[in-house]
Amino acid sequence: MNSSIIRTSTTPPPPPQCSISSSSRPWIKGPTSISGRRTLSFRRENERKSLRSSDSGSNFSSRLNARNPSLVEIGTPSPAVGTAVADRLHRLVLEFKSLEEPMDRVKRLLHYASRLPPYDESGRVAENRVVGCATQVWVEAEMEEGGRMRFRADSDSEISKGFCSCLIWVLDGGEAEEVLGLKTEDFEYVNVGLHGRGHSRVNTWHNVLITMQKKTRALLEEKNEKPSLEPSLSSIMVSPGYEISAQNHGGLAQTHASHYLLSLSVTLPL
Amino acid sequence: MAMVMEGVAMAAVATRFPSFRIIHRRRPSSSTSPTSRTLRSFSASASALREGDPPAPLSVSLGHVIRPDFPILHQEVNGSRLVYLDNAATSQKPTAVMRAIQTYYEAYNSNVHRGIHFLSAKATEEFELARKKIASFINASDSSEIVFTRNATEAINLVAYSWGLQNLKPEDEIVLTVAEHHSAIVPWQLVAQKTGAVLKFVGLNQDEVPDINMLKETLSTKTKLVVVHHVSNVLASVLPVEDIVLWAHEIGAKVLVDACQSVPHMVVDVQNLDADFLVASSHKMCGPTGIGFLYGKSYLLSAMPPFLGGGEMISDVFLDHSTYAEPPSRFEAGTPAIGEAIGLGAAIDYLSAISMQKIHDYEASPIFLIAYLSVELSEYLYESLRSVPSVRIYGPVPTRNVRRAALCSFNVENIHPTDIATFLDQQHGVAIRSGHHCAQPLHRYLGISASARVSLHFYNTKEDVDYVVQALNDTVNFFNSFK
Ligand SMILES: Cc1ncc(COP(=O)(O)O)c(C=O)c1O
Repeated sequence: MNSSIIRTSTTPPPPPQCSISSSSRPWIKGPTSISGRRTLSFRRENERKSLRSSDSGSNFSSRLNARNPSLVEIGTPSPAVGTAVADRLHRLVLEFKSLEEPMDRVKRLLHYASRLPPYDESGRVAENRVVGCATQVWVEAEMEEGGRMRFRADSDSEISKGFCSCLIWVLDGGEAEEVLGLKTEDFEYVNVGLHGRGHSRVNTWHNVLITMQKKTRALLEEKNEKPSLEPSLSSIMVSPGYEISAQNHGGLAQTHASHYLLSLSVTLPL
Repeated sequence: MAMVMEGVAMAAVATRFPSFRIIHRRRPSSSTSPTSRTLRSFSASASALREGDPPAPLSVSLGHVIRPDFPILHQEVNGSRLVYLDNAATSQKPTAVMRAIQTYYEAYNSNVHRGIHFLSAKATEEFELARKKIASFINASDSSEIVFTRNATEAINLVAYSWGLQNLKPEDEIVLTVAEHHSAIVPWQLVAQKTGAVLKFVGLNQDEVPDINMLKETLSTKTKLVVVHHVSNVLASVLPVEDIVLWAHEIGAKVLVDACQSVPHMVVDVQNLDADFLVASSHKMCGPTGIGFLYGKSYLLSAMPPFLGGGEMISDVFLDHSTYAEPPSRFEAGTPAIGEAIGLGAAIDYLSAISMQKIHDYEASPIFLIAYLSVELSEYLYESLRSVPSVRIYGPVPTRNVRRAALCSFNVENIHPTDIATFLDQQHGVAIRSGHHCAQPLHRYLGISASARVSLHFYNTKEDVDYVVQALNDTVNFFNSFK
């Protein structure tokens, strides 16, 4: 068990950084399409404001950041050999069930977000995007020679990243069948803000899990089709898939809409 | 009742603002109109304010007065007082609307236009009365120019499939702005694919509002239709629709106005605008979901083929063909959303009793009108939000000449808007929207994939704005402390 649950910080947070970094924060894609003049004034404004914000000292979030000693942590995520997916899921659900305050769940997710292995910039491509999420989420799947699944994921939202981190902790290293055996309902307790089953367009859990399962299924089918043709191939990358489960109508509609947008050459007079 | 209320209102504000005029203009006094209820509820509002709301300020605003009419606002979510600031997505419903729907189902639920019995006659009368109320609300010359639809999206699709398929040819141009809602873009993409027509998008100018000079230059004899929003659901900008219509008509093009974000907040007069088509959704204007409307000029609707086939829209049906009913019935196939239409009628009564001008003055009137009352909600929101560290608000900077609607889409550097919205909800009970607000092309144009949006309605107050700004500062500190 790792004891550093949440970074304890009762000191005021450092003043926000002003530089716009398109690589680390992809939802701000940088000032490319905004005129230079406005970008400049934005920066100046930020500098002024960050000065103001740094002396605001204590506030209610520093209370939130105080460590909650009653929390039990699930431990360093590692694709443990021999630990069944179901077992890890059980531990995850127990952990989140013990967090009654929604804010504790948010904090826990942010903590796990910080442990998600760095994601390669080259993976942030359309083929890896999870459709239907309110945030940008990228997922990649691979099948090892022995049939174990390996996953990588990333998001531009810290909370979504936390979800991904938990999902990967549960699923990474599992057998394809184990991955496919999970139901979105199993993660009901590992939610923030969405009550009940949350069949919502914005349910990251739901969408990411379904994407992981689809990729697993595709890899499994690929493997079953040609069992011994390419024995030297240690892993097969999944091919991009565009369609999404019938459960996610919103995502489907969105995908279609964006295809229409792509297929028409939209000229934006600048 | 009215006298009592005026007394209270005046006592509360007289010392500070002697000419304050939010609630004491004379209103129609039919006993069943929501007016009398609104007035009555003022006495209840004092106690309601004492319980859940922040202490009543010295100046009693329109927002404070009418809050008791919206029961949903008086609750706690996630352990905090609910502060609902997602009004551009949908508005809350006053008791008068809910009561009208309940009365319909309790007293005269029946199908319309189909029976001669008492209930059907009564339902038909109320349903058609709702149509008349919409017509007079937007100043249409006749209620037959109002077609009931499920929402604004369906109204736009109706025009696209009926008028568009009939009138558009290859190379014809449809001019839109990049700031349109998906509902106003996708139907035209579908119709363009079918007809060979071409979509032309106008971008933003340096003030971050749709560039109307560019729009004017884009118009040509090829232009058959201009599709524009009235008020942007992301930028909060207001387009000069009268001018656009004038330019479009000069070259023989028609104009469809997406008035989803204007009709609930200001006086919209279709004859003044001279718009050919105008659409809006009930649920954004304090009415129920499942109903919206299309306004279309009579001569245009009369020449348009039906959109959907079925009951109600035909005149005579033979085995191989049918003759179509006159508008608006021609476009209303099947049993309509009767209770919802009646609910929308009640919402219009409610808004009219307050007066759209008053609502607009409270939310976003020009400064000089009420300078002595400090600024109105829209500017108060903008200026307050600007104080949040590293915030970037999209759309125009408000000035004496440039007015913004009472909403702000924004990003805080290095924090995803969805994380902001989640924290505001979970920790502070504040409801805001995050995402692309069904305006992905605009977000792409701005170089972002998502934004957060605070959007107000007339039941919001400056205290709500203060609260969200304080909560936002807390949110920013929270996430930054995790970095
Ligand atoms: C500007 C604008 N147009 C169209 C719509 C679509 O409205 P509805 O979903 O009710 O059809 C909306 C609502 O989000 C809007 O804000």
